[in-house]
Amino acid sequence: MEVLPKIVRQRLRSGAKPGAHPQADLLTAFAETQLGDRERARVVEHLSRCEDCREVVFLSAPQPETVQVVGTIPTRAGWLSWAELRWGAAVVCVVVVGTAVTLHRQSLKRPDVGENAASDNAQRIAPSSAPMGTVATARNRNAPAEATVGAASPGKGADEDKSAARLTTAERPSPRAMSARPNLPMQFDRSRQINRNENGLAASAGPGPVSRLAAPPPALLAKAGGAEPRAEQESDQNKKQTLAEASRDTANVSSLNEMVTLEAEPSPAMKSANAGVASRKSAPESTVAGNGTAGASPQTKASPAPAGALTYGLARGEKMKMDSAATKPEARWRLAPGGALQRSWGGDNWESVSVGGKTIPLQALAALQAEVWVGGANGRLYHSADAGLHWAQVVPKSKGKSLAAGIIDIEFSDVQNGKVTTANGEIWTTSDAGQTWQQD
Amino acid sequence: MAELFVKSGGAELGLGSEQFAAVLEEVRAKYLPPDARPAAVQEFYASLRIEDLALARACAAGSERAWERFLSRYREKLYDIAGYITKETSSARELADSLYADLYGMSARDGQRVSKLASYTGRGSLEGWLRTVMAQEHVNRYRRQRRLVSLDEENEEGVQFAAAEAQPAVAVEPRLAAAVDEALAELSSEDRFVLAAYYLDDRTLADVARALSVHESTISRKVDKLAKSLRKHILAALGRNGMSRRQAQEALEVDVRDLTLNIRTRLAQESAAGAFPEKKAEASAGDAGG
Repeated sequence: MEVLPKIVRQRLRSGAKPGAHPQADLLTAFAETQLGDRERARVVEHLSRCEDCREVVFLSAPQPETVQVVGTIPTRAGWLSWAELRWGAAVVCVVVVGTAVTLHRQSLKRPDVGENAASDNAQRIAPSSAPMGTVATARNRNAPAEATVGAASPGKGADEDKSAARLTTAERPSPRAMSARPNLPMQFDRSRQINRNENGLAASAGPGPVSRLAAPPPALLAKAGGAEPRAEQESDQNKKQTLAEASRDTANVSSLNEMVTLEAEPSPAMKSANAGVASRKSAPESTVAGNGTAGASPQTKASPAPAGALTYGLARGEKMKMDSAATKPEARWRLAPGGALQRSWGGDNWESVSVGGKTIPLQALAALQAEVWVGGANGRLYHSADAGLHWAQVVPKSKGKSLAAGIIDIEFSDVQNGKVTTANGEIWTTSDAGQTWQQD
Repeated sequence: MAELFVKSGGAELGLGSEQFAAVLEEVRAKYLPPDARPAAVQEFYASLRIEDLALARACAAGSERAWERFLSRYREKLYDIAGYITKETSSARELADSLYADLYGMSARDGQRVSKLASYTGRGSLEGWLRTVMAQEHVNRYRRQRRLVSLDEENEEGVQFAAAEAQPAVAVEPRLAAAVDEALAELSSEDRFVLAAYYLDDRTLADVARALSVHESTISRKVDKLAKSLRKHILAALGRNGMSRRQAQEALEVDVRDLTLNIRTRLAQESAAGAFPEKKAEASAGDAGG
């Protein structure tokens, strides 16, 4: 930046004296661009000469985390944000490596198919860091299988995440690392398989079960640990739509629930009958604070799944909602005791996240991919469209009234539609991603 | 007017429609000429923050319901704002409490409680107004250390702001001073504001951009452009006054006060005898022998 000579600074400071100071109203209106041209020009003229009024203007400027009043379009990350590209590239690399390994192993035509069948299946599964809802694509379509991960990973702990992480490499996972134990026969596509096992276990030579079925989450399969899924040859199973196709069509694959029931050990966070859609969709382990209780232990929120969501039937009747459209790992969120917001990329390490540059006790959380909403006392509602990198405060207004009570619950079924509940029973809804709000 | 009253929610706050109409009339009289066209008046009213205005004036009138709402919305914000302004917890609390007392109306005039909220006219948001008032109070407290004059008091009394004590005069090349003054006089108010904020107040580009509601890159380009343009203008003016280019550049770059300090530093150096101890020793030996 060009340096201003000292003599110029001196003369600038000692120029003509300012006139009467504008009142607080005018300075406020100036800061909020509410003045007409003439009034603004007068205020700027005064400010150009009055050091004290300049200081008042700068001190009174809103803090960088600008309060976002209704009518302002919140910033949202586009589909091609840099974070998504990075994760997409990582997933593509994993897929390529997995394909190469699988093809290599195919060429080796290992004889000991039986005990390695499960590991083969698991090997084709992407790690827990893989995007939730990504579904295995048929190997015979020259696309490596990917796991849908997030469902079972919540609450699994570091061990299972680590075991899932091993799946990203070409090495064969140990059967003991797999914990999911399917208790119903899995249907395998035998159309291209070389049967080496009379029991119908998939041979490593051919595409494994995941060629037709979406691979269950690695943690679920991990439970199998040495289990030998019984494969049955049914030609009509070949015609069943794969989970990959189902995910692309976002169709309910109810037959899956019949075919695959996995005894995945549910995490404590998964106790509720229905997962909170918003929190589930954002991250497998995203946990949402209980209603109205700051510092409550993370509990999943129950809310009905949106139509068309893929579901996996789990043991004990639990259903997992998979965001089949997601193709990248997502941040996981939770509210720690005391109301601190925490985030984890992958579920291992949780880091505290300051909202707008400061730690605010929060009582409600909803996250959907990169869209995160948090709320606390006195109507404080914050939104981030980039997984917590930047925050904007949102002040819902309806019929001249602002949301000012403590926020105890936030729900977003998708990016557009959301609901905020306050401690005094008010319910505020939005259908345009928080641009406008209505109080019910 | 009725529509505005309904929109303001004044009835819920215990504000009567006539009271509200009187408030609007007061604000109109303050900012619009008496012969303003009705359309302009309506437009002006539409630009006001009606709800905040009703709340503030209801509080000033002593409505309990209004105060409850005000406290629930702004009590915590007052502390946050004070904390942001003072950057220190104890000062922030003191500042916030002091302002709150003024807002509540701890002072009385002619036997009537005077609340600072009565001066809010709705031109900007109530929260923004609170920020500004708090910033003014903070600046006043600092100014008490330099001068004992309040900005608000001056406004009320209509007294012009007193100039700061001038720095000791330093001899400046008259042609240079004239050239600089001429260049600065040609600046627009906004350009002058940008230069003053950036170079005199040491504000960041982001701060200046925020104050003018423009992008930071706009301010960055403007500052650079203005500084270069000033330099060019001053050099041209000095050239017209008989200076060579080199002389003009030197005159512009050299600060007489720096030269003065250098001279003082030099005068404060040790004497020549101390600098040459061997000569001193010879001198002493010569004196002793002689």
